[in-house]
Amino acid sequence: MSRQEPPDWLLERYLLGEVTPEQRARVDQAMDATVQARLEALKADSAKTLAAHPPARVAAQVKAQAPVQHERWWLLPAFGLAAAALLALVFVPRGEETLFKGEGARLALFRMTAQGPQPIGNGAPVRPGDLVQARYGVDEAGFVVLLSFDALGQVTIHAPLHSADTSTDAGSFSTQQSFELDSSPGFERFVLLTSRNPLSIDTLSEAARQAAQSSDAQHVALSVDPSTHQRSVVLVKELR
Amino acid sequence: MALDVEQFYQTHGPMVLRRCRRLLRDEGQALDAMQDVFVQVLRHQKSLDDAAPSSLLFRLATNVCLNKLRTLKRKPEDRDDELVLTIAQELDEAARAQAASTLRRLFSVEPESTATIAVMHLLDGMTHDEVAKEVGLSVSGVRKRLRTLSAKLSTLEEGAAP
Repeated sequence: MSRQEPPDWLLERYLLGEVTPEQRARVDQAMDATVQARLEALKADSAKTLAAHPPARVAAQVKAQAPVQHERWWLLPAFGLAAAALLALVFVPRGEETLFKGEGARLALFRMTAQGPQPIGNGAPVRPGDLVQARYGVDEAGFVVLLSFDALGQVTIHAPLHSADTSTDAGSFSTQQSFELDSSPGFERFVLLTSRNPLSIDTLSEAARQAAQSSDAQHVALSVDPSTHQRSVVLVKELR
Repeated sequence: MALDVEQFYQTHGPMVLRRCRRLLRDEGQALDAMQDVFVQVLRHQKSLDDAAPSSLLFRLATNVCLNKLRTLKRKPEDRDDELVLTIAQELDEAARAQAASTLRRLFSVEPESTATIAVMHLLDGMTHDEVAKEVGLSVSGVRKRLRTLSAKLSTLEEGAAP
């Protein structure tokens, strides 16, 4: 392709009708058999793509990975209508995420300082060396795992700390040890997983590692049994 | 705007897939990346500009693919591929450090990543002016970002668009 020919990105937008008047003129002025053939090739490729990957199917796949709040809504029937009425879901928008309250579990993080524990919210900036303590609560006896993972896929289990027994009574708890953030870049995402069924630490750890590989690792739901509830808080690491 | 995912994909999906194919050189990876792009769009649909979403999708796909390339270990297939892989790896540390703000950048809250800017200029042949308009930076801002690239990238830049 010579430098005078419109680049691919411009032809794509030309076909979509998403060009400025100047850009349209640039393509029109360069229009010749070669450019026309490139446009036709793009159209043919689009038709081929839509035939191989039909819009209805792709849209369903995309929606299946849609935001956490969508999953939470359709999980509600599992609780039963009476329980749902008691849950009184409250949505609290926090930046790019929507946190959920009232599902019977709570998660809060604190930076441990000389002045005492300071609460740190979702998306809060932190630095390597910061000491973080997690506090969580569940409204009914069941099973719980609290883990965190970073951008490199390093998973840390915070609860249960010395056992594979994930059962818990109702109540509020603090992690037995503060967690010192290391210098790995990006973020540390804490995830509280609760269920009425036994939880496997190995399975959840692997799900966290897989989530860390996602391009949306800070927000994507862990791929776990649908009966497992997830709540997460992301801490953003500032390396300087 | 309320997003009709099916219609949105029908209009823009093939363009996004081609973008992902060009950067990833793998059909399966490209399909995964395309799906990731639309998931992120759906997740941030309120920030979408319904006038001309192709610009956002183009940058979003570029960013998703660069992130994937950082985790893939493969040899470059040609000069363009070498350029993209080099950008992905050279700017890996900075990109990871900035990962938290990736989505905010893409949805116009913060400036675009240097890696994406580099790909747009060096691979796609956008001029500094075109890149500046695309990402909402000044031309001098784009030049400054590109100057941060290593000598290795400077060598690869020879022959790129002005």
